[in-house]
Amino acid sequence: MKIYNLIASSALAVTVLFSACTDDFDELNVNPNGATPENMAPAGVLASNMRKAFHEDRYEFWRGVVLHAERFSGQTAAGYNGNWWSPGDSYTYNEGWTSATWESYNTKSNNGYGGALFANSKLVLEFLKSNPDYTNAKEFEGIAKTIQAFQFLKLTDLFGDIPYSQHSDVENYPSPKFDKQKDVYAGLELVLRDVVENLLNNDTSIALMADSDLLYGGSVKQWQKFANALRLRMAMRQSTVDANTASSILAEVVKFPLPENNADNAGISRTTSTTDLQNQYWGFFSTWKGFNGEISYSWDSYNMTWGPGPGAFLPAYDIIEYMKGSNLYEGEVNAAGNLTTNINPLVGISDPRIDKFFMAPGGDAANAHKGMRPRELYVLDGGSIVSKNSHAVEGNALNYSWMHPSIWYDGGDWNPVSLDYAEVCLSLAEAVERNLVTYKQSSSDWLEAGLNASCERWGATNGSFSSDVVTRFNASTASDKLEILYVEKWISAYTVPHQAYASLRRTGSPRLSYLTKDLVLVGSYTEPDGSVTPNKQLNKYAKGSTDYALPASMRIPESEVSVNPNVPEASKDMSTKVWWAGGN
Amino acid sequence: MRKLMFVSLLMLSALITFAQSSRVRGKVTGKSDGLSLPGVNVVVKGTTTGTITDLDGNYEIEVQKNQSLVFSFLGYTSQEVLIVDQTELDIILESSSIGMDEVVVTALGIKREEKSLGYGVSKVDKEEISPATGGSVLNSLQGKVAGLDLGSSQGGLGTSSRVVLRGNSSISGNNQPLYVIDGIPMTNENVSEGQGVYDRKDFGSGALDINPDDVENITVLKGPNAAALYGSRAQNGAIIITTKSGSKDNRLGVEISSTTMFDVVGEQYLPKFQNKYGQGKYDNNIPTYDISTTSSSWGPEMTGQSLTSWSGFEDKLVYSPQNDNVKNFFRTGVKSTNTIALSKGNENVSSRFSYTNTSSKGVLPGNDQKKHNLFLKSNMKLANWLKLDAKANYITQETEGGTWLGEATSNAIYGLFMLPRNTNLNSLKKYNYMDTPNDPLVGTQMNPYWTTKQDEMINKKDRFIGFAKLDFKINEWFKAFARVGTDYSVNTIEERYNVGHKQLSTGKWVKNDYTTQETNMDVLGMFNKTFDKLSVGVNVGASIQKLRNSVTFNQGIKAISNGFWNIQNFETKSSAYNTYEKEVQSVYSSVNLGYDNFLYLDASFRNDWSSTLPSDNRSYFYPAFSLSMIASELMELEQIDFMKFRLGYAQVGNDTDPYRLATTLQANTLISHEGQPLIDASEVPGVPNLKPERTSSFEAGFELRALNNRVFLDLNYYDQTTKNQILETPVSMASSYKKKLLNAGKVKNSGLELMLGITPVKNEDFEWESTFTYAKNTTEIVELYEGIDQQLLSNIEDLAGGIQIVAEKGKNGYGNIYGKALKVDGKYLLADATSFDTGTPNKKLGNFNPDALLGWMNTIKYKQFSFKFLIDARIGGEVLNGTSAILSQAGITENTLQYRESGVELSGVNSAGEAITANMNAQTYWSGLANYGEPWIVDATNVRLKELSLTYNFKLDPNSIVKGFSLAFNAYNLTFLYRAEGAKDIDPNQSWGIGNGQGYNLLNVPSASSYGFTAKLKF
Repeated sequence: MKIYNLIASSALAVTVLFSACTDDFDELNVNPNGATPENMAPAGVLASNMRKAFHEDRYEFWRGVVLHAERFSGQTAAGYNGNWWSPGDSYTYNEGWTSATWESYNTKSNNGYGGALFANSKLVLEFLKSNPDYTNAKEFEGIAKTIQAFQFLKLTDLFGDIPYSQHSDVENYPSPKFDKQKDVYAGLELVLRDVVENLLNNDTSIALMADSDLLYGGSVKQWQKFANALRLRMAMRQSTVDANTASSILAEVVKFPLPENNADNAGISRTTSTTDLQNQYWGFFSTWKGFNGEISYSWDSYNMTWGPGPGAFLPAYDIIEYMKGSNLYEGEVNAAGNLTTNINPLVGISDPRIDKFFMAPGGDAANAHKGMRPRELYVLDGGSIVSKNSHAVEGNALNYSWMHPSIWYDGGDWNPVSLDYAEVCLSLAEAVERNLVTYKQSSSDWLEAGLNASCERWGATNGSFSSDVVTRFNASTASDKLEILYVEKWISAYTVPHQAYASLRRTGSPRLSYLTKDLVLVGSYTEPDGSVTPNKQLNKYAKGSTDYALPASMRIPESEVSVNPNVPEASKDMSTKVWWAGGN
Repeated sequence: MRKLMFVSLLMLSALITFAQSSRVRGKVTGKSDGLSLPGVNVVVKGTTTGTITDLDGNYEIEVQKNQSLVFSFLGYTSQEVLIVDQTELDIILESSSIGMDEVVVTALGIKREEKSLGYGVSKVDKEEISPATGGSVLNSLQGKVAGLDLGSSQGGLGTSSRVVLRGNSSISGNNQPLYVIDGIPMTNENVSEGQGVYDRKDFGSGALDINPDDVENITVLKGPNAAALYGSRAQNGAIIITTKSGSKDNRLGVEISSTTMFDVVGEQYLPKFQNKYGQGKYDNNIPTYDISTTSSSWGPEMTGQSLTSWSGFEDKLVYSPQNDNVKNFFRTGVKSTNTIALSKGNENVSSRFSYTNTSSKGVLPGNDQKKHNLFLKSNMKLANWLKLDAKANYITQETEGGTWLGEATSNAIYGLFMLPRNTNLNSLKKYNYMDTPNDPLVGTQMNPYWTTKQDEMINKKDRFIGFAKLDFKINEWFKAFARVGTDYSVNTIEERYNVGHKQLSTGKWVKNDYTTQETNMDVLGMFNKTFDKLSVGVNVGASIQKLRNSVTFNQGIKAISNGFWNIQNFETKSSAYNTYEKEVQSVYSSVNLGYDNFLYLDASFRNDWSSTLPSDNRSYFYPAFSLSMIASELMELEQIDFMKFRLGYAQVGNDTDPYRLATTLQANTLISHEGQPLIDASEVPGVPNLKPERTSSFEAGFELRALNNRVFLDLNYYDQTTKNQILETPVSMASSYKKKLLNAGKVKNSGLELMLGITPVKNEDFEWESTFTYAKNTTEIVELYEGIDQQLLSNIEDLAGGIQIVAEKGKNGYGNIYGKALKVDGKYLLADATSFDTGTPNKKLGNFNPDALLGWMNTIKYKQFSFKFLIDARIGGEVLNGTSAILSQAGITENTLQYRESGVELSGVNSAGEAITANMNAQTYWSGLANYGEPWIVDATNVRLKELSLTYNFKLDPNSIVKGFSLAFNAYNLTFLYRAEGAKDIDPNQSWGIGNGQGYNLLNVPSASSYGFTAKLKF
């Protein structure tokens, strides 16, 4: 009897064990640690997208902006004695940095700080599509699309042709095809036009975004202006290769509001925590204080104790000399160049922003600003070719200007700005000057407005600067006028991610960029075995991966090539010009 | 391994001699051939008193009247004879049907006669499992189990060991076997943080927690055939651990064992340093002393010059070689393990309790571990038909320091190895607490004294493993059990970075609590009946497995006051809490048929339901079959004692991790923007229609015992294929994700396993046993997924110009190591007259898997002495010597003495293909070389004297209260008998955690040789 009871009860146990069972499995497998795409809050997701796009995380900021765009822009230099990056690195392809840039701009950044902008955008847009009655659904859509377009623009301006039509569709296109940059531009213009004319054309404020809109606190009007300004940026960028299209876009752009002052700038306040390594330039400097212990400096009411650090980067020779208003000659760096004709259209005009962009050598106002020649490997010293890096004067970071402490030091008040009113004005100055559009005022007025806005943003005492430039502008030939506009646009783009490099590539100005030149030094040289060669010839600058030339784009990294057979051959070369700079 | 069991019996009997009562002597012969049998066990029943027969089969033993003598010998049926007044007793032993009634523990804890199994198993007994081998039971398996590939841990105390059985079968998933303890699966989750070369930490895997002193034996079920009944997680095989039980002996048994091992980092594991040139760099081709911009050792020759010091405590330093500055940094590690075990029992109840205390000091200062292990196992007969088994095992441990790896700033090895060759350790010991310079290191490395004292990694773990099991014996042919077991652990990992840390100068604190719980409930009914010559066994069972994990993450940055470790003390705080749950339900059945003791057929069927899969694919079924034939039963074969053939086929299905079916949006745990949460799509998009993975396997085996069991051979061939793998495959970044999940891929592993045991000499006083294992595995990636021939397992882009570990279509494609070629078409690629152009293409440099694994174990016994040594070998495979690359770049190692004086002239081509030559100084040359992968790839083949021990078992009076006493000298990881050129400064067996991205050595904590003593005392 007992036995049968037991058998019965074990049979019962088995049955009980498995009868209820798998019904609740679906529920069990729902991730409790996050929201589903069906019940998300778009505001928090867009906050991440804004931070990602406009306040790049340190990791991607180093790789995308500092190591590439800024060094390619001719505005910064690295490679002094003890720097992390040797002079030769500047134009040398680096798979790690390039793939990190490509990866971070397209997906979540490797260290987990930078968000998943494109994946987020897709989920937000799908959510809004299936919830058309969600409060401010239309405006949310407009903002989501604007940020997405901004990020696409960042990618295509750096890399040229990129996946666009098949982007962000992992299910169907794990290896998306690459679209021509021209088509990407056309596609983005369509999107942004819809954003400006429809989605964001209500002068309203989104309550749900009051805190999470890191740019404009939920002001739809300001987003509309920004989206429209992006169209202006894109139109100008393509105006050199396709003036007609640019002109017709501009005609539409000016029908809608554009940023009107610095309050409309697209930017996010820099995170205030001084310990936040993700904090743009701060994180860059603070990661490693550098050698020689610490030295005290003060500049512009900042008192600092810091070493130059291997990460400290210095202004390039060019931007300093242009801002100082120096005479510049091609022949200085190019054996074939002319040594008598000045090519600086702004010679004699000193730019007051220089003390806001930079700290004079050693933090001493008595020292003249000095920029470093990027990629410079050797200098001649008393007839001998010696390495710049170890040269007592030329290789010492303390003999050069540094980036202004407000940008990188504790408590600095600089904030990352991705598009400012000055750029809008200078773009309009060019557009009006080139008769691409007429809008409100003359090109010289726009130029003056732009310089005023830039000085205002940087807190520089304008004095007679703007009017001096305008006077010079008005007195110049047509081509010098454009040269002035381009140089000023390039200068004003300092610390605006990617813009100086884009401007330089499109306009070819400033004309004299040491970065593109190759110069041979002749002198006595000590060989590795100790012997001295009397008339040794060595290249002054590093050759890089572009044979001395300014990189025309970033190349698509091997990491992408290995998973995507659709990468075009031309995209695997840093010498390939992007479409708007005259490429295919 | 049966041999070893036998040896242990011999050992026991040798311990014991007789004191009084009547003396019985005689000769034991075998019935079949009438020849004398040496080595037969003669034991007084119910005691531990016994002896063995000598070479001629003679024995002599003292026994009291009315006691019985038991004669037993492998391969023969035991005989029991009651002693009334005999003094002469000759015994004729009948050979048993197979001589192989040995029982092994198979899946679900079911004990089976080994002869009836249709698949290969390997068993390692307690004699082979010792804390002397490094405190981990896993270390005791290497070289003893054919086909078990164990990577040594690489980060000091408490880091994980990677075990692979029969090759890697999963492309991107888990390739670790399932660990089962007393029939219940346990978690071998490895808590690790960070992945790259800069941010890697290893906190050990769960399998390390098992106390070697509590282990009775370990059975290794190598393939899915053996493990099919465990389902999903056993597709990589299973390691079945059985713990010791209490004895039925009425008296209190006390066992005390104490092992102390000393770990020494010898020259053999250290880089070969140069001691001629100190800190500095080539300045215009002249080696120049420089402390401000470089800590490389490219400076001038050291001749005792007085030069400016880097130290804040002195103005000048003496610039002279410090030959042993690295070696002297290490201390002698001490690991002491003390166990006391109590056991008592009778017919109805038996219990065993043990307490083990392990206290270790690692070779790195500051790397300490303390561990307590409490173990209680009881077995109670509640009624004739009901038995209760229960176990409670509580483990608590705390490890401090030493687990930062690679180029992590806090990895003391990084700072230590990178020290300029003129650095005097004494001047390093003095450092400012907060201010630089604390060391001569220009870079992110830190003063090793600073980091070992000021940075702390504290890993605390509390773990409970227990079960309760009711056994029902309904009648002679039907038994059943119901069992519940749980494995619960809380692992707290705290990282403390003190203010003054080079990179985290304001201090940082991370505290992560990992809670994992796995609960298994199962019931099993077992029918066993014999009908004439046919024996039938049917098992029917069901189980539920529940997994629940949670992680609490806390991080604080910028300490308000120093040395106060609480989240309140930090200005920037972030935290998160995540939980994961999973459940698998299963029903299974197995049918075991045996015919006439020579033919056995097994079939098993299992169906799983996993919560991690979509409802349509959630249920998956898989069968397994095996056949075993004892050929020696069929025919009389001369000199052959036992011969068996076996065949097996099995399928296993596998599920995946929870929550992979849908994309989710989660707040970034690392940052917010000024308090605004930032919400992001998950890293990998959800895939709603995932299917279970499938592994199918075929194996064939052969076993032979011959020459009176003096020769033993076990041969196994297997061929297993895993398809439909749930892969995380990299996708184009422009898809907005880095990877996606899919079902794809087909990986085939085939190979051979061989175990050969011989006993060349055996007599009463002297015995030599030799066991040889060999295994060779070939992994073939038949397909990955459409259009893709290569899948990245690990991308180490910052090492040696970029290294990729990949799985690639084709034979031996798993674990290929790719890196930059040094030359193109046999020519150097040069940028200009002074430097390399590192733009050479990537090429396959090697593969991290060994071609073959060998082990050779020898046991020699002479009277009371027992001497044992194990040699193991790993043939083939490559490892990228990243340590050497980094140190050569800095001019630290001996190889960089080359070209110091006159540079080197290299001829090659430039990017345009024109022939050019470059003159480089040693620094340019060596640091250039460090940007290529090819120069640093080395053959990982090595032969090692792995274990050595000498034990003396004291002869004891059987009436004394001390029942056993032995003393042993142990040595472990002694020396390499062979290492390839280029690998002589590393341990090529070290692995990087338990993941699949293996194949490189980068500033690992050097392996150490261990020497020490074990004393065992038994009452």
